[in-house]
Amino acid sequence: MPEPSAREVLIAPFSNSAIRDWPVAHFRDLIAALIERSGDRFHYALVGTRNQRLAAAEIARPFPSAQVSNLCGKLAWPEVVARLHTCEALIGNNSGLSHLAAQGGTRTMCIFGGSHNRMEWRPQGRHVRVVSRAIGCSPCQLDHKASSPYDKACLRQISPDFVAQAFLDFVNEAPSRKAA
Amino acid sequence: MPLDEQQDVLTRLIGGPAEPYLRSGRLIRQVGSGGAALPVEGADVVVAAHRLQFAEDYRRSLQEWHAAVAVGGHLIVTVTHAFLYERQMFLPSRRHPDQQRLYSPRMLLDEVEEALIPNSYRVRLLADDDREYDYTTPLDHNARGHGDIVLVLQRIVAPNWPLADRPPTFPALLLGSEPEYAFEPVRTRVERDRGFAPQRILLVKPDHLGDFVISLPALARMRELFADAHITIVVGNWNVDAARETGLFDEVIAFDAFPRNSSENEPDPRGTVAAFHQRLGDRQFDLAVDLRVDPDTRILLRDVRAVRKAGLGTRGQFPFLDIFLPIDFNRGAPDMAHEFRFAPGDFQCQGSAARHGFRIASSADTVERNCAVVWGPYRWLLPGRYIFEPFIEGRDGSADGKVLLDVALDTRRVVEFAFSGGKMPQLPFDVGPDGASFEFRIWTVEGAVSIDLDFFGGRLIRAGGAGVLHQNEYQQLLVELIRLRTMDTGAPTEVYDA
Repeated sequence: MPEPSAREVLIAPFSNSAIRDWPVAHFRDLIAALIERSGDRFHYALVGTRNQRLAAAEIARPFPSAQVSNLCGKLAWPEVVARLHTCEALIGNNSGLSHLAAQGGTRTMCIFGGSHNRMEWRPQGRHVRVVSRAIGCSPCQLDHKASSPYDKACLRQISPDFVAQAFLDFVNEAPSRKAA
Repeated sequence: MPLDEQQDVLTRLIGGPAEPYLRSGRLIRQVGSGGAALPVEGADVVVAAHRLQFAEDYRRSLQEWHAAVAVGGHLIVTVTHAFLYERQMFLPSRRHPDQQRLYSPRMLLDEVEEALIPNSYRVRLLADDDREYDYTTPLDHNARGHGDIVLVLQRIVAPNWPLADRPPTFPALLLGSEPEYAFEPVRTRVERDRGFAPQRILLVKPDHLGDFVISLPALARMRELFADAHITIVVGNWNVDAARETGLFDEVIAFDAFPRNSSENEPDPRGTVAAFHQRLGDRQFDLAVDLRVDPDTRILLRDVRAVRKAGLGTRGQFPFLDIFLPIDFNRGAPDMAHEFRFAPGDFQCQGSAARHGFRIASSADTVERNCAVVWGPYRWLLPGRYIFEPFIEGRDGSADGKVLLDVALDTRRVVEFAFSGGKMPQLPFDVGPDGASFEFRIWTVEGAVSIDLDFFGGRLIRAGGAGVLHQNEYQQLLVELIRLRTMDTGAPTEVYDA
């Protein structure tokens, strides 16, 4: 298991509700775009529960195991919390980990779906960037992915390339909290 | 790989759990220590013995070995067992310092599931190979015998269906599209929270003395939060001295948005907007706050030259507000009794009851069994205390005649009254915490003479309850929200979009 480091970008691809989750393929393409644009600047660690491990494997599979690690189910909760404090940044959905990272001052990029009103539910903080889609059906307040009449267009239409560039702009903007 | 090393690998597998698979094909390739790539496909059996544990990129290694197996062929992977060969749980390996990982059977399978596409393989064997293992060997000696984990995968043709999520419930027509956004173009945006430090603050508090006094804690809190800011307050003439005496403000501006005596003259804050701006002159502010709770003065902020504006209400009501504390401006209603009026048309009737113009009339001539002749309106009621007052008149009094009036909640009778004419009754009842469906009924009574009556609907009264905050609390909540949006988390600002 890779050691925590300041070069580590945590990827939290799953919340406890699929309607809030950016597509797995988008997370995979995001990592590919980041590696293409920033080389080995970062190590990427997927975090989540044991039950999410198989799905996380779909994200990690194309990448060298030395640069992209699947840590889902491998970290005890205190280890996750500790890693949030040492990592470079976290990229996640509207999920508990994104909120926890934001509250702790960790650079957080939250890909926020349209089921909830982002003004009410977004992770807050000066070190947070919220990526969302302005779309006519949001907020839908739906609970289940299968109920979405537009197949989660609010998340599907957020392109991995856009998020990759936004993330690099974000981390290049100013020294992190830890560096300051 | 040197021939003797090859032979050693194959020899070790003979007699072990993987032997049947080793003998399953003619073409056997072995993964060498030099890391040379195997030809893609073609091999009946690929053997990777004690290789994976040294591979830096286990995913790529497993993917390459798997790709070298012909469909139907087998990949045999062996690694040393952490509990047998190493007899430790943590790296570094005592026996092979360059070993990358220690393995249990689960860990080996984990790496396979991560590396290989689901359903491109089947696990045919996962076993501990502890043949001739001497469990009595002391720790300071290398254990003798086999101490491996053996994994055999069979390559299969992946089916043409992917592992799918639950299918959508909407027709395919809508899937893949997205709705147009009525008020702005569909786009992806990035937002961040930004705080700001207002240096010039305008507070608007044009109401009367009592209101001003109630607001003093909120006004003091503003000064506490923005100790170094220049704070201007606008008050009615009648509060100028009181405002100056607080010592909280750098400037006090007198402006009467209301008549001094509102009970004698009709207030019209909206009509004073132009005069208000004239009074402010060229002043510019970083933050303008309307601390009045009632919405009628919010309009005064609309054209104030301020970077940000704050007040109670919603942006839907006041689009010019940047910081708004949503409140229900009908907040007084829960403290008052609610009254609902029902017309005869809200009720059904049958039997001796029939509609006549704007009433339901029931005749005493027909003696019936216990029978509801009027019923309705089936309205859902919130929890609370109620009284239903049916508008009912007996046209022809009869000492023995009667009908039964009742109220039912969720079809269960909760209150009843025998009506023989005379004064309209009141039927009190309570609705429990889950709410209930309300029904009122008029019954004829078996064995009893009915009465001639007219039914005109009724009035349902709900008792009020405390559902408001104190004016001071509303204002202090607004001030705390201002603190959050300026000094703490900040307010969302769009960074860019695409």
